[in-house]
Amino acid sequence: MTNSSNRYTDFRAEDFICDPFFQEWVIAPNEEKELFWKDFLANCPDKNEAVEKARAVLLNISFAEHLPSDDLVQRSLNRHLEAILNSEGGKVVRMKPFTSRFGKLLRVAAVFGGVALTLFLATQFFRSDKAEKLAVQTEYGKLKQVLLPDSSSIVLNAHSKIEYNKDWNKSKKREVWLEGEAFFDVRHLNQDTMNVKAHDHFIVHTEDLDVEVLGTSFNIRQRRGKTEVVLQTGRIKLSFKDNSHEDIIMKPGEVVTYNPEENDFSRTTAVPENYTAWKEKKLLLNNPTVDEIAAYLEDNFGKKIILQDDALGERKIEGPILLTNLDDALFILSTVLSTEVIRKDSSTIILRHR
Amino acid sequence: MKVAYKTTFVLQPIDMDKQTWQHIIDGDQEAYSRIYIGYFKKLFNYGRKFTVDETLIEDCIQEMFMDIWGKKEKMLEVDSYNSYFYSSFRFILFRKMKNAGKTVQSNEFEDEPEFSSEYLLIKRETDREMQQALHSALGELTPRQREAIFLRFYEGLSYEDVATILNISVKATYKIMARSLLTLKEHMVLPLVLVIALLRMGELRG
Repeated sequence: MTNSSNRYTDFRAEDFICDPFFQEWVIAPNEEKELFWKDFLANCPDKNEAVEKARAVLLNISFAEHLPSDDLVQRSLNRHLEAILNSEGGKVVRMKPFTSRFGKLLRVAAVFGGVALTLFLATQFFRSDKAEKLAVQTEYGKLKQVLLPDSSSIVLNAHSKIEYNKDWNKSKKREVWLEGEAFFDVRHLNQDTMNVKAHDHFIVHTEDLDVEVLGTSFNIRQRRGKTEVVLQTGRIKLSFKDNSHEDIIMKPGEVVTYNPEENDFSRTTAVPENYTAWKEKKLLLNNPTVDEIAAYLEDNFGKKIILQDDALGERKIEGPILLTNLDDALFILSTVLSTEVIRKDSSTIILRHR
Repeated sequence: MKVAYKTTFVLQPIDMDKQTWQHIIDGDQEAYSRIYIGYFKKLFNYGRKFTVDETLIEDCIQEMFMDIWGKKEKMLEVDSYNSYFYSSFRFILFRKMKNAGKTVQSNEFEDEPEFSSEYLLIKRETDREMQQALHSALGELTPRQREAIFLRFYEGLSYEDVATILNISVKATYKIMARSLLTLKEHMVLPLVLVIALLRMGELRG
């Protein structure tokens, strides 16, 4: 850009502020611009104050910064690369065989982290012509992130399992079978609500109910005969396998729990984030009793927790419990309850009054 | 050879031109990942000014890059990658926010989503009175004015790019920008001593 310095001889501070060429110097100075304005000020020293004022105003404008965590960026990149791979894999004839393309993607993804996840995808990819169903499960005390062929993502809580067909045919519904607890972030494939195709549907099957969605995020916890579904965003449909209840369309923030054995059913609203705090290794139940917390820890860590008496189990505990490992969780519990932790044997823990 | 700019933003401008895009089409996945990560950070930051729903923002960026990948050959004809990326992201975000608004039966999103006023800051701690004056000035700006200021002075985009992103004429962009800057200036009664101090700091920083 060229500009004549004559233009600026009558400028006041506010004129400088609004002048794009002047702004350019403040936003992205370079030698050329520095030279121009130095030269101008040398010729019009009376403009010094106006220029400085204008600069100060512009330099002072700032915005709060919201940067994503590196982890989020990497996961998103991996998800995207995987989605590209899938979309290209769908076309049979290609100049380059997409295994080599995948190898390239794999290397790139590895550079940016998420290696374990990518390796998981790779094994899934190369085995894809053998097994009919793929299963991913977690040990006690461990979480796992799973990327599905449609680039939906699942965070699998400890001691849980999902299964899905290796072949995600575009003409079929997307289906996942869950035991345990998982958070689902389902990719919405089709924004056109008037024309929903089979593949746009995503179904999670649990022992007692099915959750059907188009694209949303939600948490399902299926333990001890009880299934609990918490919707974070979007809309989902629940259908009950024994037809004991009508189908339910859930709205964000709703929680539905169902236990056919005990004929227990409830539909309430809550803060959905509390139900998914386990992803951040925190347990944030709603005003829970010690019994409920102990049951949760048992399910996640695979140890038996015995409370000295019933009164202890009925006490309520506010605030988060760390789930980083069982010791941390027990430490918090025992501090709040003033109990001691006794390890009876490798699989049994007793909380006893101090 | 590029001149090393000293900039006022933390997020560096992204090196993106036709040549880079041609490399990407030819299979340079590293360049592509770099572009993805660079724009992800920027658009995430931008989107957060409209909504706190980070999952939604991530979704929009995913969708935008899928669209772009789908027409990657056409992308060679794009004049300004910045305005293309920002405006497609913005379009997707607004659409999704409207859809989300419908499902929770709220009328909140009948109009365009608003660029939040909470996030426009004045860099340096000055005295409390001035802070308050500024704060009220910021509230006086319309969401669109705040967004224009953000795109120009935080993202460092050109008037042409800002116009494309806001989907208005360049002339209208000049108007919006001038009006918002004067409102801000009005409330920024900086004593000259402070001005000079600020400039010194600016020089030190650079």
